[in-house]
Amino acid sequence: MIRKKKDEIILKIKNLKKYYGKFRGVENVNLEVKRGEIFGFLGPNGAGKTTTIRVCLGLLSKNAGDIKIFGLDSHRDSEKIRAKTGYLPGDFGLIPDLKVKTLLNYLLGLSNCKSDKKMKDLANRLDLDLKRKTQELSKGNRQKVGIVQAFMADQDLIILDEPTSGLDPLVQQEVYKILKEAQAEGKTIFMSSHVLAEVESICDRVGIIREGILQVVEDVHVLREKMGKILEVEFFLPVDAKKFKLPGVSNIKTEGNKLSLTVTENIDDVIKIVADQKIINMNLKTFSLEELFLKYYSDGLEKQPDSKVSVGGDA
Amino acid sequence: MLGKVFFMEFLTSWKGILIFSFIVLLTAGGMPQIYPTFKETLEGDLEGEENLNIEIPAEKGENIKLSWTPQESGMSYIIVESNLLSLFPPTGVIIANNSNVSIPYDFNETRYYAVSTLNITGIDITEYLSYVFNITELYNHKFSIKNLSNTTFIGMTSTSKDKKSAFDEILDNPAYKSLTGGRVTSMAEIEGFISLEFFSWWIFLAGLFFAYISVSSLTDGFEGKHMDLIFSTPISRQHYLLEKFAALIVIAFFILLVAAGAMAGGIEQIGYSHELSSYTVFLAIIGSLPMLSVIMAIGFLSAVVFRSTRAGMGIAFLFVMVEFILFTVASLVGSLEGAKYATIMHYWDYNSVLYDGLFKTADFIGLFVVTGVILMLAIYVFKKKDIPA
Repeated sequence: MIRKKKDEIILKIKNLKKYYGKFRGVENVNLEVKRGEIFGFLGPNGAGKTTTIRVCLGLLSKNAGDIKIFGLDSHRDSEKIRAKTGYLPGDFGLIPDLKVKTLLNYLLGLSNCKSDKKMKDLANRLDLDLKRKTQELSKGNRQKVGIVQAFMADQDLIILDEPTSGLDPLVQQEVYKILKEAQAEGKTIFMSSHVLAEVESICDRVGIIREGILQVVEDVHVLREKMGKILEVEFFLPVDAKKFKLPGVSNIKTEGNKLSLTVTENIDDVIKIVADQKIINMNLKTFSLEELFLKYYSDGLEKQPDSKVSVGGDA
Repeated sequence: MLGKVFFMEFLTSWKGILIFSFIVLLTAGGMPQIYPTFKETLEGDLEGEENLNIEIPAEKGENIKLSWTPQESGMSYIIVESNLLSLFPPTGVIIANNSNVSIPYDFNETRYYAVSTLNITGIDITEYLSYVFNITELYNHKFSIKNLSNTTFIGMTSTSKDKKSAFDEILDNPAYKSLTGGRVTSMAEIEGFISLEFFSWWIFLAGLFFAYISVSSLTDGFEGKHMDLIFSTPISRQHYLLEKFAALIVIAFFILLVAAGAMAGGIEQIGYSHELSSYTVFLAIIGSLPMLSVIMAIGFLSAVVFRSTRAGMGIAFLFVMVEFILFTVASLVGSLEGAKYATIMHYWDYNSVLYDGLFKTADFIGLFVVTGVILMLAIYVFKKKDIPA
């Protein structure tokens, strides 16, 4: 019974198209988000992440396509959907001249939520002073208010547009914890980000959007395996690149004592070869979003049928 | 959920309401304070009347004798006669070399006389007189006004003690009468004074304020980017707009109560409440509520169409101006009288309340119906349009 519920599709977007006059917002997005998962919506600025989210919530109309949230039509049943959805906008302002608590209570009231316990608890965890006036808050503190209001009414679906934007690393970690806890409570989280590391660390699946078109939906660990990591090593002496020509190793470049390569598998063998020689410095890093896109397209992964396993559907 | 937006409107706009209430308190309460002094001025002696002596014969056909204290020797005098206190246009001009004149008494109306010394050096007096009756030509004419500059005003008098004020003469003009529904009004009466000095420009004072708060009430949300937070909650756009409007109606009603209370208190304080009762004042002022509600509905409509304070405010202010100008022009120009019925001001007949004690309930309700129609249009547009990011 629980298993069955877990497979329930909470958010389903089909052939979504949204234009602002002549300008493209979203060209074609198809995806499904299952109950209880944290879904990362990844893409560079202007790719169409925010547009997709705002259409889902009925803030924008769509030109074509179909969006179902909790099985309800996103446009016709927008109020019913919003009754069960918490939302953190990517760019928002706070009503001025109010105490943070007054504003949050107002939003809580509009969400028909009687208890402010969660609000206080979240504010406490994020070190947000509820007595401060809204216009006195820094960008980071405004973002905290946004996070608190998205989670405080205890809704089933939480949609977050760039949740950690403007937050310091400690608070970011606390937000990740809050997300994980919400997931443990059975809530579904749909979050956009342009920070790959963030998506990698907390999301179960990720959809990558580029120029308004959803390119791929993938399990994060599959994506990680496919993308691999960049290994950069500075040796004491010059190194022979041929030694590293192994399956799952690509982009091998040497420059004097320096070596750089991309590893998707056989990392153990690579490290052993590296360890044979004296090392001055070593760095293993994940791809930035830009690098990921470059790699993604240059490697032609999108042309491999098995890499597109979950476009518009399951992974 | 019900009432949250309603109460938030008070919480966010109380400073503006307080400041505007204070302005209303000063104007509505202060205006009656001027009235007694104003009335005294209108009903008092004419300027310099004590310098003149007028003898009016008992029978017509004889001469009126007008004399005054002689000025420097050899001085000439100019006596301007008119049947209007404003002396324009004059019915006659007399040049005298002595300090008295005789004027034939062959008219029925009240006539006014103003006497000044006249330095006619270098002026052809015949030519001068030919231009006195046409002020435009006088000013455009070759001879210099400087030649007339060292005249000294001696005084004014009239053939009757029952004289009208210059204001009342203007109000007697048919054009002005059309603005008061054909009523003969007088600035010397409290109704006339309040009608002209307060009610005639109330649409500007209150209309522009409510145009401003109605437009900004919505555009603040668009421009301040609060809308995404609000509409991530289950509230509908229709509900949000209607609750805000309900709050603004309550605010408008409160402001009108302040205005009515201040004015009634002011009239009571100067001791004229027996002439204009507090009840009448309340009815006349509260009667403007639906007119303001139409202005606020226009404010909402322009706010949701343009989603910008500047553009929305421009349209709402333009509406108030056009309404006022159209109503005034339609009242003054007979051929355009029909256009008056298309203005909201026509349906707030405060003169009818002030003079006849008649409150036009159908007009009052009618404007609320118009408000409803405009609001429905605003809701339709608000629902249709995207909420800007």
